[in-house]
Amino acid sequence: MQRVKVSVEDLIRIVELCRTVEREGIDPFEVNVRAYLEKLKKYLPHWKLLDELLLDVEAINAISSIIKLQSDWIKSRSSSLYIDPIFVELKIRMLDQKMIAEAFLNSWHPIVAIDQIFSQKLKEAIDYWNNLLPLSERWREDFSPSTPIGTFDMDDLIELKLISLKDFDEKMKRLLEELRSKLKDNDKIDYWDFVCADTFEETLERAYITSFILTEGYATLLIDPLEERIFITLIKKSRKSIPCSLPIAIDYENWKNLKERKN
Amino acid sequence: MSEKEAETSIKLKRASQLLFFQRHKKLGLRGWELKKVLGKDFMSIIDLLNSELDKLNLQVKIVFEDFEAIDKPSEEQIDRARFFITIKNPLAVSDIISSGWRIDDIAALAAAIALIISRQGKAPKRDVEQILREKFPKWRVDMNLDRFIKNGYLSKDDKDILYIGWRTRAEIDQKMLMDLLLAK
Repeated sequence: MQRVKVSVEDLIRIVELCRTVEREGIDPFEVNVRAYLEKLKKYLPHWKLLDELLLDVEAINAISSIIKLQSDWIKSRSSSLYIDPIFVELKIRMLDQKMIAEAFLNSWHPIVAIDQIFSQKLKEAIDYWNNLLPLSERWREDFSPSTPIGTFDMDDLIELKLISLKDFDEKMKRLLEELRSKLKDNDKIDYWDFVCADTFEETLERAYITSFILTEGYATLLIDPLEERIFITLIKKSRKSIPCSLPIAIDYENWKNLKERKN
Repeated sequence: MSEKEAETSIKLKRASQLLFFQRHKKLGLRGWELKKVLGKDFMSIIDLLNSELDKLNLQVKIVFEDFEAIDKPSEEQIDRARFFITIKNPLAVSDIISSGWRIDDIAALAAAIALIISRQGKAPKRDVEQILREKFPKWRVDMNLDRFIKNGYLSKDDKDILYIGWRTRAEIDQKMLMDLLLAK
């Protein structure tokens, strides 16, 4: 039997090619979808490692994006707005600036808007200015030596009665139970699927408490660098591993995108 | 004047104030914002405003979220659409020049938009630069593209791909632009 020469680089090449076509708006029909799919089918029995299989899945995903692009391409070509890009480029090169500008002006309907400060706002601004202390005085108040700059830790927050240890323990216990119930049928859960909640504040709280669950050693994170995904998995028995810190940034935009994806 | 007429007149003035006065960097208002102020039947006020603006060569332009012209939009599509006031009939070259636009800047904008439209709404920045540099010096191309992006005529992602911007959707009749360019 003839041995098929397989290499992971082929998969990476397919993914890269598809992503470039997608990114740069190149004609998606330039990609020989059938040939690539046949190649993937031929290679599939040779993949043994998880990373190889994941790369194979990514290649399939990239090829399916190309098929979607091909469908969009056909729709666009059949629309009344479609004109061959090469023809347009040629026209732009041939026409002088005045002719291009004339065509533009005949299709241009500029937005009309008024940008004005009202007397009421002006009065508010004057009042604000009159009440504003000079910068030197404000700085003296803000950074006076009596208020040294420092950081708060959990103990400080408990001492200030901003949070109670009992409440926090309760919340942590509840979240841990939720995590355990979600991991009953699966080994792992996507980090963002777990922490994302209905409100941004709740999401921040879940992310914060989750970090304590991880630090306490009830669960751990699995990182898939290929797909750039983070999973949470429970620790069933103690393992000897090197502890490390993983900063996970979360902001409002990030949360909004997650919510949209979730819905 | 009947009570209803008086109410309509107040709403008409309110609608023109809302649409004329700039609130954010991105102009115009969403349908739901107008609905909140003018009431559920705000589209009838917009129609009325449109007929008043027509006398001044102005119009209310509605840009739907998926950027397609819709004959019979649903309530949800109208809520999410953005409303602007635009000039109705095209301006004369002299009007544009006196408003601070140079003829070569307009040509550069037209060429960039036409190129992006022909490529299904997106094109690498370097391709647009390459074509513009055939007719304009590099510094002018760079300056113009930055200005077009800043003003919302074009938008750019982190991979340096240019797209049609929100202002182009609101202000430019894209089909007419392409027809006129190709007819020259």
